[in-house]
Amino acid sequence: MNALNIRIVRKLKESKLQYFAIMIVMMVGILIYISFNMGTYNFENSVNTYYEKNNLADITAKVVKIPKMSIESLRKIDGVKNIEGRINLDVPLKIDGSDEKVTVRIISVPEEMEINKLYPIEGNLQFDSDTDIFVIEQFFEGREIKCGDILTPQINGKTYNLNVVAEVGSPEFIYLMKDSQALMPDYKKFGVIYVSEKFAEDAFGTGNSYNEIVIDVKNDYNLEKVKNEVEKVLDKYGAKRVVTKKDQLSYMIVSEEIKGGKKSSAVLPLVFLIVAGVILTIMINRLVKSDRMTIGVLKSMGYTNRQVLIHYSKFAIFIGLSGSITGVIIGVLLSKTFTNIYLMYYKIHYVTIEYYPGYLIGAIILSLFFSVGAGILGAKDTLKIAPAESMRKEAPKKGKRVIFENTKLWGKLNFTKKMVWRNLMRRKGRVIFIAMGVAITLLVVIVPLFLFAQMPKIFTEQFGKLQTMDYNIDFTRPTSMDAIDIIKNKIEYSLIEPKLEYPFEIESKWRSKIVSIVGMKKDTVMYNFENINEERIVPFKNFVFITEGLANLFEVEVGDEIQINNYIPGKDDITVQINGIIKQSLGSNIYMDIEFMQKNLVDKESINGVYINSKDNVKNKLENVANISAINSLADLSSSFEEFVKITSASISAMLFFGFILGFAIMYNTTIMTINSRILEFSSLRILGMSRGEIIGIIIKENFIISILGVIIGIPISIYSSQLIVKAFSTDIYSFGGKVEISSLILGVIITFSFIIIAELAAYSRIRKMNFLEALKERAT
Amino acid sequence: MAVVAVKVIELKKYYQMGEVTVKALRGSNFEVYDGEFVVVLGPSGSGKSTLLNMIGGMDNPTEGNVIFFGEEVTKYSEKELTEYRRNKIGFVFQFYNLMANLTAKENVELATEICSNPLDIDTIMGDIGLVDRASHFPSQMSGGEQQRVAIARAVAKNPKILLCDEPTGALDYSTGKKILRLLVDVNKKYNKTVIVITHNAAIGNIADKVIKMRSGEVEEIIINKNPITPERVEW
Repeated sequence: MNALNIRIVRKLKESKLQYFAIMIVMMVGILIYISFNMGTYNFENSVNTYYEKNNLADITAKVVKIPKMSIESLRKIDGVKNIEGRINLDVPLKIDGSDEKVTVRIISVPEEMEINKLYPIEGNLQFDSDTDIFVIEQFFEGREIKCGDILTPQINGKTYNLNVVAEVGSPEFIYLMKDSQALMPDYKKFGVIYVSEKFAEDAFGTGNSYNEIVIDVKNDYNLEKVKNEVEKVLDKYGAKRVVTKKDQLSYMIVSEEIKGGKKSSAVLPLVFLIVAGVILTIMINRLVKSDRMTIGVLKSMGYTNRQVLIHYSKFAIFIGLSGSITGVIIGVLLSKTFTNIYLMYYKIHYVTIEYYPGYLIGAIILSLFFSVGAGILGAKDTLKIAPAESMRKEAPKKGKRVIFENTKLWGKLNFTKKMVWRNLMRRKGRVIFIAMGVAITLLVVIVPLFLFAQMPKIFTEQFGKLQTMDYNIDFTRPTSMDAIDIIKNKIEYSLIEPKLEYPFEIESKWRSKIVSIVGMKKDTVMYNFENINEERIVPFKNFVFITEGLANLFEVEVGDEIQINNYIPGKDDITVQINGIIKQSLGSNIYMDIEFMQKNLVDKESINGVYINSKDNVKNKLENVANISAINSLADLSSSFEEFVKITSASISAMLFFGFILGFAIMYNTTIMTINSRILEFSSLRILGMSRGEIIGIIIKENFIISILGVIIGIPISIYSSQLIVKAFSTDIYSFGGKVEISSLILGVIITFSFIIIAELAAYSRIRKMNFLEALKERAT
Repeated sequence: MAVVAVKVIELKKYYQMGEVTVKALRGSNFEVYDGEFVVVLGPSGSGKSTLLNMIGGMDNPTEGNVIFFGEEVTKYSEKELTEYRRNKIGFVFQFYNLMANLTAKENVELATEICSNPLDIDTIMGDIGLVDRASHFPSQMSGGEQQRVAIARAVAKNPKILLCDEPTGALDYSTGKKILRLLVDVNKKYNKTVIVITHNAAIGNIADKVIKMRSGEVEEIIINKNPITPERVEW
């Protein structure tokens, strides 16, 4: 190793904590880049393999009823490769000795299953008897079911004893949720069981017909075009909902997760690398300034500008590369964990964990870009240092009165306070840098706090503020308003309202989407609608409200019209005018007057659910009522929400830890750099009789004022960034609409200040070891 | 006939120091012969260091020329100046200017690694009396030892000329004399032209030639036919 490189190693060793702090920031950036990218990539690949091997349906169509023979007519559609019909209905599952309301989706399995093929996990994929069933893995594990157990679903009021013969996975239920209104999966409360076609026909009384078609489309065919043709054919069979796989719930959630993973793996590493790059630049620049004479000596010995520039850039490159290499190693190790975290929530088989060299190269290029850039930017001043000039003393900086000196207040300040303010006013560049550092730390702290505060808001906004009912009950089939009287006779209640909920295809301009339309009484008290300005809007006769996300998707405003394509035989498509755009954090819907919906879209007097306000034990009392498929209570939602909070708080803690790393690196380095660059000034003060404590007091006061400035800059940046994140991560399923709460801001400031204090304490322990008086001697050695 | 190593012609240097223009050199002329031991003598602010920087290619003059073995250094490009400093000049500074985190030997290597015809480091270290100190860091050495390292660093490059800026200025009387002895030895043994700048008039007695400077101008040039040994110098 040549002498200059030896110098680098020894210099790095001298200030190891300072360099280590930057190295860690660089490492975290690269670690996130590698683990997020590889984890997401592996997840995506595994998911796609699963879809491909088990042939996920390209199109799924729900119909009222289609005779078995008639599905053959779909084969003639250009692009259709294969078709299978099935019976798919949600029914309650009876749980002995418990008032739990569990719903199971019963899906019939054709003899030769080619689409949405099941993945065998345990047991035998064979129906030896009509009462044999396969159980989806999430539910199997969630309820601790074993092969040989008996499950007792209630179908049309009758309880069946079904024998579990296998545990299976399915590509259409990688993420198992009942519907898009569910907050999160609940594997104890909702599952899928697969039955023989014969059993389904007999139990549901569907005869020789299906209510769902799954379609495999040939490669290279436009799914939307094929879907439109399928819709035309199925129209006469009461096509309720025809969706391509991109609108299939599990597929959609998995796709959103992958998209989110990709977004995070693009943005997060950049934040860390930029911060590391900026600190490195400033640090190298400080080093160059303090090494002015050394640089002069090197040049006097015949070192070229290029050699000197490279020498100082090497500091940054060394730190960058060491951070990068450590980041790559830990990132590669973590990528497997990261993929495994996905696998905890998404049931995928054929998992492939590979290490993609492209990302390793990308990581090295990224770190080189930031470290070489920081090195060159920081060391470029070496070019300006003329050897002879460096031997002369630096000209004293221009001194002038700071603006405050003309105020009356100035006279009241003591000597040290005057010093503090003069320093701050004269070193504006440094002040801005540290303030920006504090602002970035605040940003990294406030964003996760904001997201954390949003989680309960999503819940409380949806259940409690928008929906106020105690119970939301779904019927298996549409029925008449008489069903309300049956329920009224069984329970004590304060209020019962009818509901009618159906999916329809909504069309506006060139966009179309399947949307669940919810009909309710025009004077409902079960919903409190608020417009986008958070002002209450009261429903009225024939009202049609649309959620904000849908309004944005269709680009419609109040007063605009949308078309509702009706699949119900004998009912025409209609055009309705939007009367209100409402806020909703979970799912996207259209709400309308139930009478208007019955009259124009479904059948007069028809309902398929009720909302109940009651203190009674509704679940127990309605347990055996035929035609009830699900009873959702606010209490159930609360418990699933607690689970949700547990999961999210782990990732929020990780983000806060990253914030701490950033904050520490910024504050520790800036404090050390400040002291190093002012060591002569502090030494002079020591000579004048100031104690070490008084000098540290000056630095603390300066940093405190700068930190306050940083907070002032950081708060609007944090609020703005949080809003950007809201936009970036809002989906059809979740929509964050909240503002950053004052409490999040206050907590963010407190946490940031505690990070700053920890970093300052670490810096001061180093200051204590400094010999100020020694520094007054010649700096050359 | 003696070869002219350095010829300085009407050399002027003005520079800005903050808001003040400093006229460091106001038109100096002299010659230094190859192998000569020259002392440039003058009080603080007389322009000696500036003159040394011009000769060493560390700075460009405002006007005038420096001729080095027949080549006009003042016409050199930046790149040529670097080459010039690298291979032909050896600098010794008042405050040694060693790299704090390199050992004595590594400090010398720092210089020899880049030049085209260096001398053997171990030989130089031995001649200069640093064998025992080779692995010591500057902070572990006395001022005199540090200055020896600085001289070794300058000599090891095998330059044509050694430029010494107040080499005894930071040293005590006895150590200062030892350093002067070393410089005289280098001058004789390695046949290097040595230019020493100092404000200490006594040191002029050991030189072949003394150039006295005042206020940026050469006041007097004295040829010393019988220079004394450093050991006999008193101040």
